[in-house]
Amino acid sequence: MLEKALQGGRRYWTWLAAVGAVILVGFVAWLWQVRVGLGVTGLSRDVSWGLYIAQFTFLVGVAASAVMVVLPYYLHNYKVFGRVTILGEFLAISAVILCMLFIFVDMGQPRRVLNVALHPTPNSVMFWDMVSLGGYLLLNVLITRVTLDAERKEVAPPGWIKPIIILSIPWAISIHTVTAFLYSGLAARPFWLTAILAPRFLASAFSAGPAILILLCLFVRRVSRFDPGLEAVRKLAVIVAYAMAVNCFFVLLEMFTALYSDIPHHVEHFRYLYVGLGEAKALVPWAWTSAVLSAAALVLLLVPGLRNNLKVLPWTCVVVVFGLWIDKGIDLIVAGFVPNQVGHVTEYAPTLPEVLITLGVYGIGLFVLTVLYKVGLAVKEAEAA
Amino acid sequence: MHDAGKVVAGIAVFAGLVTAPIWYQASVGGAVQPLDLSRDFPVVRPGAPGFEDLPADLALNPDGTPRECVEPTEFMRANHMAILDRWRDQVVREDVHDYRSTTGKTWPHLKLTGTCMKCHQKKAEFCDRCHDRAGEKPYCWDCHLDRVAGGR
Amino acid sequence: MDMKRRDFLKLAGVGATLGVGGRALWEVVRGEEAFASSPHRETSEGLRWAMVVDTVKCAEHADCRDCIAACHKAHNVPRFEDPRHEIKWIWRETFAGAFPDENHVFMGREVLSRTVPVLCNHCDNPPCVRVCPTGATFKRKKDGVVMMDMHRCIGCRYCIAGCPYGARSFNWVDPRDHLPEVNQDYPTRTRGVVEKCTFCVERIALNPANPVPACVEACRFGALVFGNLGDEASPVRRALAGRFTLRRKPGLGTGPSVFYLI
Repeated sequence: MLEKALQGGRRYWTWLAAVGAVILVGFVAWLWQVRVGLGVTGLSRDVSWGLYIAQFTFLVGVAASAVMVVLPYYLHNYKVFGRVTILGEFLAISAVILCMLFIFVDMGQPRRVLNVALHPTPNSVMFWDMVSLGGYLLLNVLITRVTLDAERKEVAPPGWIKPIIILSIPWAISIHTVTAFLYSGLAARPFWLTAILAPRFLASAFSAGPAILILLCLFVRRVSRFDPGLEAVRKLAVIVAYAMAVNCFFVLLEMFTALYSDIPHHVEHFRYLYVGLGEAKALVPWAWTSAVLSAAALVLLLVPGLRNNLKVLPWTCVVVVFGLWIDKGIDLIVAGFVPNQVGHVTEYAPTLPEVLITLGVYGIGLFVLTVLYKVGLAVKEAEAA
Repeated sequence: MHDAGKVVAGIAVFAGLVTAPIWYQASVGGAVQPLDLSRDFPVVRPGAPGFEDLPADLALNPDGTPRECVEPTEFMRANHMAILDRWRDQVVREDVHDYRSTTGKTWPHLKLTGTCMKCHQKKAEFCDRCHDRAGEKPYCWDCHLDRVAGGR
Repeated sequence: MDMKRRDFLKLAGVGATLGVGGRALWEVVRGEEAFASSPHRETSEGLRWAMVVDTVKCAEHADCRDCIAACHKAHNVPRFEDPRHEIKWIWRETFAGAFPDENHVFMGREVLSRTVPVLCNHCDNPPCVRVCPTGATFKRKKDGVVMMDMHRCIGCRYCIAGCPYGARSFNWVDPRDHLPEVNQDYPTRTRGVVEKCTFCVERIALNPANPVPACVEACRFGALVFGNLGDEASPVRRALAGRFTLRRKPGLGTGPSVFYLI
């Protein structure tokens, strides 16, 4: 089936070449990082995780969000989503691959990556993260492969795939829960030590993920003869709206507990994020941008006239994704390290190699997504013709 | 067969790439000479080549007996990597510092630098000669020092 | 009734077991035990290495860095100009930084201005060990030392995130380029692995009965005491019995094995 990705027009190949160039640049930067060490990044003794791990965190959410189309379609037989499930699952596959790559480029000893499997350590959440992400990737590869193949042959998918699809639903929840547990189980970092981190992660995931999916659906409508359906897009927008509202609610809950209880170790991180600690204010503009974008997104999503307006909706989605990306893809991880365990303030800013590697990894994700969508759309188009 | 030409060309390119090292060696390297292992550096047994070159305090134990390796030479040639791997885990993870050799003797306080390199001082000749040839790049020396305190 | 003697004895045995177990539980619930800050867990040989730091003596010699210099020299700990890449096994921390919950503005200036040596606490319940995905850091069963296996570390830095004391450092670049002098008797590290104080396991191995870590040996003022927490006659136990001590962030339940005389 993959051969369908080899037939494309000029725009398709130009796009792949451009993405390939970004990947190449990132790869060279990564080789440099392997040679010199992670010292080429802006990370430090005090802020020891940064851009890479933050992207991983954000993308686990994108991966998990496929459940928002799979669940209504397979559990509730909501036919409208029948045309977008494959798009959601392909997005999930690309996102999981990105997650794994971001973990990989963050490792000090990438040659020893298999140690996690060779010396399984069930007491470590990271071990379970590997299990859940790997399993989720396998599930989605299998599911998309089988369902798309059936679609191409114009037969019903085999019965045995249904339980596997059902299994993928709780599994999707698990990947983001386990990812939240990476942080929320650390007594050393009061900023993350909160039971609501997992639900908050899921809420922001179910908002940002479907928002990306809406953008992809609208894009697919434009460039191919396959129409995912505007009803599906509008329903996705409703999901984004609910999830965004819940996410904002959860963030406010977290702020209440930290700020009202006024426990210094909890308050300090919020202070660093929103007003800065002394001269250290690097994240303040980001935090407020995220807050303003989230508030704006809420208005754009909750007013039906705006949400259903297809001219406004893509911009709403951009606002949602960017706002949540700042929140999870920058603020949440870095602010957890500032101040450090003994109260010192060290700031973090990514370096050029770090940014290039990040872009290169995103390039691989885009490449995979493009190829998968190309294959999927070829099948869908043949079916429609 | 569709596109027979392309398929055959593809297979040819693939086969060429996969066998490239062989072609390369044949055209550049010439015949492969066996390593001269009789020139072992320095196997610290009385009468072995290199024994005479050793400083007296390294060639002999404190009690005056000639120093010997923890295992016979042949055994070490075949198994040193496995032994080192096990020592490493024993010393670091199990806090077991002694080694009971196949000859029945117990050797105390294992150390890569302090035990092995104390006798086999010329890493370039003793370790690298074989490893380089076998394309083996053990990362021991990323951390462990190849010279003993007060040594050469 | 034909209840056999054996059965009766069995039953009695079960009862006794329940009674003993129940009593132990009761003692925990009832008394000081419930709020006692983490009694140290038994190790397989009743051995538990610990350190006592006399902050008064350290304060008297505020410029002294002997323990740090000795440790870093013995273990080939590199020196970096760039604080971001800094590696330290033991260093002097401000009183407020070391004991964030134990200071207030009305405290005597002398106490507040003390800088205290801090190092890995070799916790009884170490979070770094809990989070490590490969077992590269582990707690030794026989003496409770929290150890690093540099061969296995994948450099994910989860332990750095998990340590409440900032005791762990990462090799951001090749440390060998930043060693002022090399101790040939101890390995260096490679880039991409995490390191920390090991309570001088290499010295414990050579002198298991009475080990003296490099920092303790270097201290000219007797401010550092090392010994077995399981032995009432050990120097650490005698030091602890006589004066008031603090541990760092005891509320987290990690059970540090480094104590500070105040």
